[in-house]
Amino acid sequence: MARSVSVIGIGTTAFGVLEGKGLKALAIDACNDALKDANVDRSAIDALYVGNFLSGVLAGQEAIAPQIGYQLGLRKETPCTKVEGACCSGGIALRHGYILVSSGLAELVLVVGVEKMTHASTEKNTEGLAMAMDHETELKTGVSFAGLFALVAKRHMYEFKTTPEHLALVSHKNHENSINNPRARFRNKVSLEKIRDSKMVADPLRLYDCCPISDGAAAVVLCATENARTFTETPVDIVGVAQSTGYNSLYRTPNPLTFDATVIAAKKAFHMAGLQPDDVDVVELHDCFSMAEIVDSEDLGFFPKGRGGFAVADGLTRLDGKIPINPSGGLLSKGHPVGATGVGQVYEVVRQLRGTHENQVRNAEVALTHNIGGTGQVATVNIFRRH
Amino acid sequence: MVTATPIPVIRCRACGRLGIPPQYMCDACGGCEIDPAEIPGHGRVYSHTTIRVAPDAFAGQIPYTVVLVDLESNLRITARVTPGSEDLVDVGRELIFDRLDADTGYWFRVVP
Repeated sequence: MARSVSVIGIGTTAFGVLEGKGLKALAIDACNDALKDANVDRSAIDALYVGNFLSGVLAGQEAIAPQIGYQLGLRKETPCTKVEGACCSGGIALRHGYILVSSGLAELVLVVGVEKMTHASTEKNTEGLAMAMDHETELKTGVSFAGLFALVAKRHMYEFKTTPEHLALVSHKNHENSINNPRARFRNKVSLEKIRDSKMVADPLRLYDCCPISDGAAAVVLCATENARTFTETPVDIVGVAQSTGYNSLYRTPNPLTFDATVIAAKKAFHMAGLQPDDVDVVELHDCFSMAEIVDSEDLGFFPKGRGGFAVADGLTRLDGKIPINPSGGLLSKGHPVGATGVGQVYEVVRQLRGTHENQVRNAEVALTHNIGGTGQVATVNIFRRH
Repeated sequence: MVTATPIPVIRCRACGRLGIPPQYMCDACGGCEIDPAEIPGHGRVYSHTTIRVAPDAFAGQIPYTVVLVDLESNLRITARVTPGSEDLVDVGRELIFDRLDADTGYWFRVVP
């Protein structure tokens, strides 16, 4: 009999350039923060899931989950498992934690997402991130992830009259949002002119259309909803969890302007939650590039296909808009420590549903988080509700 | 029409479905017998970009053009454009197949 699952504790590091802190140190900081928030002792944790992408390539450490579990001093009976799905790793880790608690095989599960990136060069990071492409075909061409989303952008502009200005407005909104977020990498005001005039990375995507390489970790503690009140006054219920599988490359995606993996995961998560896009009050979605925010907002059902850019221009996704998207600053401005991102989004929306976010969406009751790995190879959509 | 080298692809022996190599089984019918095949060497630009910040191994080549090319038989491929004619690349522009390189994949040229 599946049990309902709730988030009873959240923890995080800042996202950004965290000099002097390695991968394991970041993960342990976030885990201890979450355990403290949940009033749970480490000895009570029945399982640890770690969402991480490039620990081996960038930080020189594999077997990262037992490494973290050991240093945290978890019980020797406690399984510690890394899950990986490129940029989706954090969202997948949350879902696995959910499944274990829901099944009754565990009472308390710790989920952490972590990535350490900024000590490596931009080229090394670009090379590492590109490993999420099909290395037998698409990767060989020298296309970067920015390049793949640039291909999406150019065609989206051709078919739907989306403009470079729409892209700049996504980035500008997210930079405005992160000014108030103490966890964000970028907290300074950035003018629209600076975004428009920034260096071209892959036409039509400029530097400010691309999320920054970042370090960071975020963690949550999960337990059965029926027990959540014994730990905290402010549990947040997980009402929908879904993961899907798309295509292994952009060229094999039947319509590259729609990531079917997102569409399918959203449909499953909404069905499980008994909710629809109109019911969502706040969204943290996968804006690895400004173009991705536009496509994601369409694929998740918030706007018709082709209207995502216009919705941003109309202010519909601002904090005071119809559907606030990425009040945290998103990947573009809060930062994208890849494996940490999905769990970091959960951190942000739990604060929203507790009513304690720095960019609080008024009366937020339902929140949605979304990750996409690669160009739609894997997607997760998770839906949360105030208890 | 400019004469173009045929594009090497693969075909499922069971259902005849064409695909871009390598594929280890047919995602459509589940068949595991995959044969080499060819399609005409013409395509059209579905979308394009110029890479200006590149992965390590390609840093010496910037700027370079990457295209998504619509091919015959309902196939599409991510490919490179042979230097010299990149400025002419645009959505809908006709391309002809240049070569398949073991290290860098498919290359196309713009039809002048």
